[in-house]
Formats: sequence, structure tokens, C-alpha cells
Amino acid sequence: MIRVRGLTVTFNRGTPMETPALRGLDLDVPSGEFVTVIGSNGAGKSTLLNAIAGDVALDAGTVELDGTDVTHWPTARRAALVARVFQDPLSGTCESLTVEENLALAAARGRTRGVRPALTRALRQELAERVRDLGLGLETRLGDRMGLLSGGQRQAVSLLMATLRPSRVLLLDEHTAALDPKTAAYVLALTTRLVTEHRLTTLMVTHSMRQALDHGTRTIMLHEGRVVLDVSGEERAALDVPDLLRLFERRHGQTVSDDTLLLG
Amino acid sequence: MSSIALIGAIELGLVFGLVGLGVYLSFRVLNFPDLTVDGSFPLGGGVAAALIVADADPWLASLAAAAAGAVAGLVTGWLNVRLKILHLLASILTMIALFSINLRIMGRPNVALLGESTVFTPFEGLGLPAIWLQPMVFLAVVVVATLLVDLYLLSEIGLALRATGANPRVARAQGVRTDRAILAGLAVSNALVALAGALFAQSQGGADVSMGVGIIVVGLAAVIVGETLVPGRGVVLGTIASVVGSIVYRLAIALALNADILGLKAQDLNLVTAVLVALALTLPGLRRSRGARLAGGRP
Repeated sequence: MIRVRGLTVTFNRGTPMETPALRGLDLDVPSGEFVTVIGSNGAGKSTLLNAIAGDVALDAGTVELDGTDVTHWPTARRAALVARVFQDPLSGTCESLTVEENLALAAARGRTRGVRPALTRALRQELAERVRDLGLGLETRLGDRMGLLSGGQRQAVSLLMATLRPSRVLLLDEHTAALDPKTAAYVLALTTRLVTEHRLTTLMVTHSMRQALDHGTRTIMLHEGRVVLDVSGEERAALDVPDLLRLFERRHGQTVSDDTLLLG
Repeated sequence: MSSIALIGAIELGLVFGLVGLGVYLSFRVLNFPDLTVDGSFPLGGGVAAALIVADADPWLASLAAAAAGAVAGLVTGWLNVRLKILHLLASILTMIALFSINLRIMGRPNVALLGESTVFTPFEGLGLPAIWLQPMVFLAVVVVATLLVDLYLLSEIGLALRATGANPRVARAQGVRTDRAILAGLAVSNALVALAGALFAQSQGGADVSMGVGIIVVGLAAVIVGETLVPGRGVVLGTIASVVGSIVYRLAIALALNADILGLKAQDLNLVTAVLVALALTLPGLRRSRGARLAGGRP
């Protein structure tokens, strides 16, 4: 469960470059809900995810995860509850570590790390098993450096890293944006599978309205740091991309200027 | 080159292998350019010398030196992660401060250890040729240190350390307290360098407040030469490469200074070091671009 209240974040506060990113955003996501998040550039999508993960300092507001107020927790402490996949495949994993070292790093998320060997025979086997599940043939490349993998393979491993340990919340920040359409479709299908399997409360930021409507159980649209549209259930099932645009225009009295939202 | 010069070079290579290990940890694993080592090397020498002169056990004195080095590393780390001072600057501040601290610890610019018992004393009279005594002790210490560093890097906290150096954002997202990892890494790194300083002082018959000048370049030379000679990216290879690099670097220096044709003298040491490091830095790039040209690609 995610409950955020009055989230306010301003970049470059007190300078001529001052930009409000979130302006008192409220959001409730019940356990197990898969929410897709859309909005034009600068609407605050990534900032919302960063605020939930603890990567950005809040000017005001509270973040509650599963009933626990985590507003003042650092990122590393929240990692026990929050798993993330980043947008850029190049920076979402540790490039200079091997595939299995990246996975071993994720396998210790949420518990205290000790002087035990990070990779034991048992863990290696378990990881190989999980990697085989991806169906990419990566189980033979566990010892390769992450940097040698393609973008799609890295995002698949990132997803696996995010779901290796139980967590409450999964945050996906345009994690298919840098992939070709075929790979993106694979990663999305994998996302849906893993989210359903682990019953994760999920926020998925996407640039594509099509993707937002086709995946998950609820769609919200951000505009200028607030939630301006929130659809789920039958209302959402009946929606198509043009309807979504019309809804936005009617509720906000403004046309969507960002072309990228219309594509896809 | 005489055999005395050869063994001397190996001996120096081994003791500076510890510096290479430390610099490998900070520069390569943690991606933290740490110049503290120029201060923690004489700190180790000074602490060990002062304690030995006060009749402490030489091994305990060397361990105390390593502990002092760890504290120096923690200070640099603290300046960086808590006070948010740029890593390079934070390490320079600690390095400068250590110069005064080292003078305080030793009470004067240098402390002689002639006639004092050192870590080598227990091994004298065991039938080992005197010239091999110090290299053997150094070899044992370096092998143990390399093994311990490898075990550390392969452990869960070691993996957290490597992730912190590789991609701090991902490390934090996986629950790694990156600030603690940086503190731990710098502490271990500077402990190794201070231990090298302690052993170096005992083998050279004394500690001097200026014995740390340019140590960072010596450590970097070891790491870079090692990487050039031992390709491959694994942790275990990386630590071994740093030690091997240190020995090869010392041999190269000895060769250059002993080659009469070149006419180099001991005072040219730093110049030769700089040239060697520059060569080691550029050679892999040259080799790659020539390979690309041969393969028909652009240089």
C-alpha cells in the first residue's frame, strides 16, 4: 500500500532556475494494485517515484508504505519495502559487476549484509534457476560482466533484481523506453507476469498512452505536479487513447501539447 | 643489475604492493581518488617507530599503525560523506593535516630504529640468508593481506562496497548504505597503506616525516602496471595484479637506474616514475588503436 499526502518538491529552490516538480500531490494505492502513470515531460512522474523511493528531498508532505511512515527514511532503508527498475538500461545495474554479482547484490536487499561470501553454491544455483525462467538463455552468461549484455537483457535482469526479494512496492520508471518495440513488448510481458506472481503494488511510469491502458489495473495522469486524471475498472476498460486525451482536455481545459504522449 | 639491487627491488615491490592494494581499493573498487595515502604512509611509519622506540612489540606496533591508517581513512570518508566535501579535496585536507599529526606523533622529523627490535628480529638467526630475510617477511605479509582483501571483496559487505563504487544509485536502491561502504573501504585502504609505511620504516631503519611524498603515484603505478600486465576484471585478479604491478614497477625502476647507458641517478627516481606511469597509461590505448587499424577499423 502506498499513501502519499501533499508531496511538494521544488528543484533549484531559491535560484532563478527554481522549478516546482510536485505541488501537493496526493495518491492512495491499495495493496496489489498496478497503476500506470502518464503525463507530459516535467509533469512530475519520475519525481513522484523518486519521492517514494527516497531519492529526492521533500519540501513538504508524507510518504507511507504499508502503514509505516517512511518520510524520513533514507533510500537504503526504504529498499526493504521498495524495489525499483530504472529507465536507462546502462545505469540501472552495476555495469562492471557480473550478472550473478548484480543478482547477489539484490538477493541481500532488505537484510543486513555480513561477511558471508556473497555468492555461495546454493545461491548460484537459485539464481541460475531464476535466470532460466526469463527464457533469454542468460543462465550460461552469469559470469559475464553486465556491460556485455544488450539493453533488453539488462532490463530483464533489472526486473529480476527488483523481484528477487519480497517487497511491498515496485517502481518502474519508463523501463522500456530505451528498448526496441519487440524487446519492449517482452519486458512488459515479463513485468506483468512478475507483478501478478508476486502480487506487487506497482507504479509504472510510461510515455505511451497505449501502454498505460493496456497494462495494469488503474491509470493516473500527472500534470504540473498533481494528479489530474484517475481511471480504473470499467471506466478504464472502455477507454481508448483518444478518449483519454479528451478526458484530460475536458477536466483540465488544456490541450496536451506533448506529441510523444500521442504516439504508441 | 647486481643481485643485491634485484632483491632490493623485489623487496620494495612487495612492501609497496600493500600500497598498491590500498590504492586499488580506493581508486578502482570504490572509484574514490584518495590522496590520503601520502599522509597515511608516513603515519604508519611514525606510529610504528614511536611505539617501537618506546619498547612496544614490533608486530603490535605495526598493527597499531594500520589502525591509525584506518582512522585517517575514516576522517577522509567523513569529510566526504557527512560534510559533502569533494572526495579529492577531502583526501588532500586529511593528507595535509596528517603532516602535522605525524610530526606530533614522532616528536621530531625522523625517528631512527637502528638497534631496536623490529618485525624481522624474531626471524634472524633461523639460517635464512640475511639478504632474503626481509623480502620473505614482506612476501608473507603481502600474501596474507591479498587473501584477506579478496575474502572481503567477495563477501556480502565487499559486494556492497563494489556496487557503491560501480553505481551508487543502484547500490542504494538495493539497500546498500553507500556512505558506510565508503567509510569502510577508505578505512581498509588506508590501513593497508599505513601497514606498508610501518614495515617500510622498520626495513629502512627509521621513519621520516617526508617518507610519504609521492606514495600515491607509486600506488597508482602499481595498479596501472598491474592492469596492463594482467588483463581481466575479476576481483581476485585485480588484487593480485596490483601486487604484481608493484613488483614489476620496482624492477623497471631498478633497471632504468642501473642501466649505465641511460646515465640516470637515484635523484631521477620521480622523473622515471612519472614517465613509467605515463607509458603504462597510454600503452594499452596505443595497442588497441593499432589493433583496430589492422582490423580495418578507424584508429
